[in-house]
Amino acid sequence: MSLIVFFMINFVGDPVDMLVNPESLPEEIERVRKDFGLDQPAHIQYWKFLQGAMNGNLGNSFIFGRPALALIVERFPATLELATCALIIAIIVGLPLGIFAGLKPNSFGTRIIMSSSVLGISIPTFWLGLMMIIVFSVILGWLPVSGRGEIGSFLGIQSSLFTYDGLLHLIMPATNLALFKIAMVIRLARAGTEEVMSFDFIKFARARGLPSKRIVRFHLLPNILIPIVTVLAIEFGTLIAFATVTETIFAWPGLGKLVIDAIINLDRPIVVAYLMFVVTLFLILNLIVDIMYAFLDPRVRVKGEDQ
Amino acid sequence: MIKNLLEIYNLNIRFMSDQETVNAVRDVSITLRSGEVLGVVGESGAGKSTIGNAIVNLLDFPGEIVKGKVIFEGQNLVGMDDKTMRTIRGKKIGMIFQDPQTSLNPIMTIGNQLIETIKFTKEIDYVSAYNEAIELLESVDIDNPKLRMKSYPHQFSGGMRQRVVIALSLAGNPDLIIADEPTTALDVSVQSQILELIKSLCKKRDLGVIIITHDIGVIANIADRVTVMYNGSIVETGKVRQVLLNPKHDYTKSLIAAVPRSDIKLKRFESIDFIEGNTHRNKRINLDNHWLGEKLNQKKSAKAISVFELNKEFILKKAFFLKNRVNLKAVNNVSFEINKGESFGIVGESGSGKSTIARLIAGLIKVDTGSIKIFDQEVVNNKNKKEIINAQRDVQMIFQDPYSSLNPRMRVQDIIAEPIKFYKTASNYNEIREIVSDLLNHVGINDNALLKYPSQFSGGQRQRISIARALASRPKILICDEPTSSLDVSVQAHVLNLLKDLQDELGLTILFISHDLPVIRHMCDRVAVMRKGKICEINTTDSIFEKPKHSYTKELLSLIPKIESIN
Amino acid sequence: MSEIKLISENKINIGTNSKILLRKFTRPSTLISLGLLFLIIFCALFASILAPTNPYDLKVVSILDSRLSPGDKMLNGTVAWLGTDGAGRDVLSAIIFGLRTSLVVAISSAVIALIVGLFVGLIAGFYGGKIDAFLMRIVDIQLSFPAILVALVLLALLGKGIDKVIIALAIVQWAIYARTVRAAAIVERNKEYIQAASCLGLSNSLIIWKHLLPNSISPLIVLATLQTAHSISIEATLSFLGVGVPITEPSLGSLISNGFDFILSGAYWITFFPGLMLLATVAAINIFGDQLRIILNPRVNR
Repeated sequence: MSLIVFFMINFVGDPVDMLVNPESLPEEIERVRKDFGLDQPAHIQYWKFLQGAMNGNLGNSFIFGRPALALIVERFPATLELATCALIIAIIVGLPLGIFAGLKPNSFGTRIIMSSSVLGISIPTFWLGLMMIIVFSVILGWLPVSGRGEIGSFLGIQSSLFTYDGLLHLIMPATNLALFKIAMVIRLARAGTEEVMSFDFIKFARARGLPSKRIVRFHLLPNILIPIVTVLAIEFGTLIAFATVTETIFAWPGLGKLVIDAIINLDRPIVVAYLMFVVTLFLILNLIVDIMYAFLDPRVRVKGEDQ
Repeated sequence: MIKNLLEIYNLNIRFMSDQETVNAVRDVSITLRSGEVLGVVGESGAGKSTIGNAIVNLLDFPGEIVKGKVIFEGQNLVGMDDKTMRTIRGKKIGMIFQDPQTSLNPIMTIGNQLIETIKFTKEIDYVSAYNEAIELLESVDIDNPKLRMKSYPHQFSGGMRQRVVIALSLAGNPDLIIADEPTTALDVSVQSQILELIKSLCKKRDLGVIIITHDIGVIANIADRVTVMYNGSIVETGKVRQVLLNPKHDYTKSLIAAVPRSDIKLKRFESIDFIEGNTHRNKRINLDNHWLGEKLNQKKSAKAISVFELNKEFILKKAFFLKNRVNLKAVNNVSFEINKGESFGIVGESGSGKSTIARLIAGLIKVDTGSIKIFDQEVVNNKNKKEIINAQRDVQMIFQDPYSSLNPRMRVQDIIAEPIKFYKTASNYNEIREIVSDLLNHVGINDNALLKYPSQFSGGQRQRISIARALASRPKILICDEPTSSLDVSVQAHVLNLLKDLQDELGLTILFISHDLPVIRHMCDRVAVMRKGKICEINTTDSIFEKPKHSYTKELLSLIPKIESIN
Repeated sequence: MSEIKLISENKINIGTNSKILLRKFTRPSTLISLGLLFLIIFCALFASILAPTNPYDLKVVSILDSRLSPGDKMLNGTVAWLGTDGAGRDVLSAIIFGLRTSLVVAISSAVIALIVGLFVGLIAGFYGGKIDAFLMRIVDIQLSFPAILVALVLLALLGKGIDKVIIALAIVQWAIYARTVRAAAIVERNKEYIQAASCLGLSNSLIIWKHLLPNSISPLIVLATLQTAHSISIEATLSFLGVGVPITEPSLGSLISNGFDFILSGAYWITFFPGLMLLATVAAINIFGDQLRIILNPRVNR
């Protein structure tokens, strides 16, 4: 994995072009190249990179001149906070709406929910962000345009969730980021509900005289949660990636802004470090999914006798 | 006079969508007393399951009751609101569905499912519900119920799961049980146990039971009275003995005549023409000058297929370390020979490896070790690819599922023409057309079919088309893998008749694979009985059925539900 | 999941069901989305005829026209119905031209990705075993990275240009097609008609081409529609972030990006109208795709 990332990033395009003035003398370009170790053969560069990676050193940023990983770790909490809030909003709003749509497929409410979800999937996130700024900040003046606001501390955790000002700053970016996911959760929940409701065990539960509320709560919900939780945990990674856009619009001081600038300026160590960081994050998320899966689904947890 | 538990008068049910209206049930009247088992029998589309669902108001959308009354213990259930209905469901009427795999919530322990049901139907506290749940499990013969309460459905076998389902439907002490194909998804050995259980519970608790099934054998085994349904209407009702032994209606006669019997071997099924009509082929071909006859008698060998020490293993669970891998020996050191022109049967329960053998011989999956010879030509580990292809061409297969064995996006004429074109056995387009239409007529399908797609045909017709396709490459050996197990009995009888006729006419060798002993008896000259990848016994059909040697064969034979048993 | 069901139960029959199909196609939501779609494609095809001015003709564009409100008259007399941008270009004309760029990028990348994905998916689904495991491992790795991230990095490496954007989007998308086709192909592969075909002795390539391909392709129709909408969005996002199409051939995304600097000063129209167009395009395709899914899925019919 690290091989793919490293070679992909490092052997297309020449960062030296970005670092030096185009009119510099060839000698000067060579000097810069040497300084950054870019004159050595590919495998040696990779070996050095691997050695560094083992010690948690992914190289220094060409632009900032500081360790790339440190920059990333520094910026990560802001992005994590944003993505987590977006995910929570998506679940709280999307799940009940999706289940409702699945239970009453022909009602008027369902038609509204489903049309809005198509809209939610179609709307360009960044454009909506801009429109939100125009409406809520420029015209109405209710919410701050950009930044993370005041950061509070609670139980040793630093977060803008703990101050009023921080919350005000968080609302727009988090909602903006959540919107696409809300539509996705609605669709997942609806598809799951429709599928599970058609199963025999739901019909059997009704034939045994169980009340509808109980069937939804104990028979439907746990069964549709299994696929939803799995998908959402993976999608959390997408949220972090998509935060790049939201962070750019709302000037949220997180990972995304750092990476966009790094990509545009060909600041390789940051890009490599970011990708390695994201890969690790994905591995961790996959692990969490497996654990949750076993927790939610007895078919994974307990072995059958005859299967 | 004993009061009736359930009375249904002139029930009419219709399914209306924007495309069509289907009158699924027409003017059906049924009565049932406590302690009585009523069988409702009919083929697919007869509307029998719809009645069961309608009684407790669980019709699938968009089904609705148009007319009629369902009087249960003096109350009319038709038009009852959902809240009152809930006091009937589970408490007064219990349901058992076909597939125990899907009837239970997979992620809830069976203990919790039982307790929940008991708490709601009887309105008692947790502790008494718990105790009652254990009693219930005991009453359906589940060992160690205390421990089993903590198990999830997937930890039970199919038969055990169906017992749990029965326990659940008994939880509210109902007076009526409606069982919709309760044993169809189970193996024969399990089927007879479940039927026995339902029968004894009915007697012990003085329940009324409605058993809905397509299987006349099940009716013969368990029911007191039987109602025969055809196309939404009742054609005949009466005591089981009287209806099965002395049917009055033509449909019933035809239906019973079509049931394969395990006690005698019939040449053909006669008088079964009520449904598909007369499909006797009137024109027999002269093999000396007809194209199907060419090449047919060239192979001199007396052995069509010889299988020697055949082995095939499947990996059930992959793992990096060999010791953690779980393998299944699907075929374990199997040897047998099939003579030219013979019908050879392989019978066994699900998972016995019988279908795997069929696929190995047809060359669809690779052999692990062993030898397969087709007309003395070795096809395993033969370096000469051409020899294999030539040998395999003599072997064609008829598959189980008529709905997936034809390419849905090809017209019938293209499906049948494909092998002809591939082997270039016809010289021009007209000749191909002629052969295709000839083949179709030969299996009892007329020329209108040529331009249609498979979805426009019924299961039986599709199976005929499959047979025509197999014949198109002029095989000498036909492998039939459960060719009729997804068809209704009357259709099955027609297809089996067709296969027999073709065999007589063309001198085909048939390898017939089935789980259904009576069908095997009807079709085969010699039989191999398989269990867990091994052959228990090979003998002539008559010997197997009259004088079985192996204990497993005896057990299988004793478990077949028989019409004869009511004698 | 839904895709697998869609094909396995897909027994559409053109002959008898054409009336039903026709009735479904004439539902209001389908008609509206279809109409909108045709209109959009029409505009994109005939951009140079339909647009009031050519926004990239430097002889016509004047800086004096910059940031006119919607409805104002430009120097040469034409009315700028949707206003003008910071460089004095007519926003309406820019949108029509931008639409063309967006559609070209999205559709060509979808076609390339579809062909590659179809090929890989069929091979993996038909042969199974090690080939399948190897191909799907690549697909999994690809899909474990969010599309936007992969596209960003690829574009940073490839540089700017419409062709580069198309390549990047195709690379981002092929894996989804491959996975969907593979799932469908596996379902079909296990059906008995494929076994019957190999029983007849047909070669593998013939089975794949004549039997597997026609039956595995129907989930792709819906997927391709929805994926095209998705790639329009991704392209717009990339252009917004400044790594997409070059400024000489702006897409809807770059137009929105242009207006980013002016939103605080109240010149909302520079971002609002291109965004609205983007929303309408993507929504029309999505609604159409959804309707297509319902129409092609006989499970919903009954």
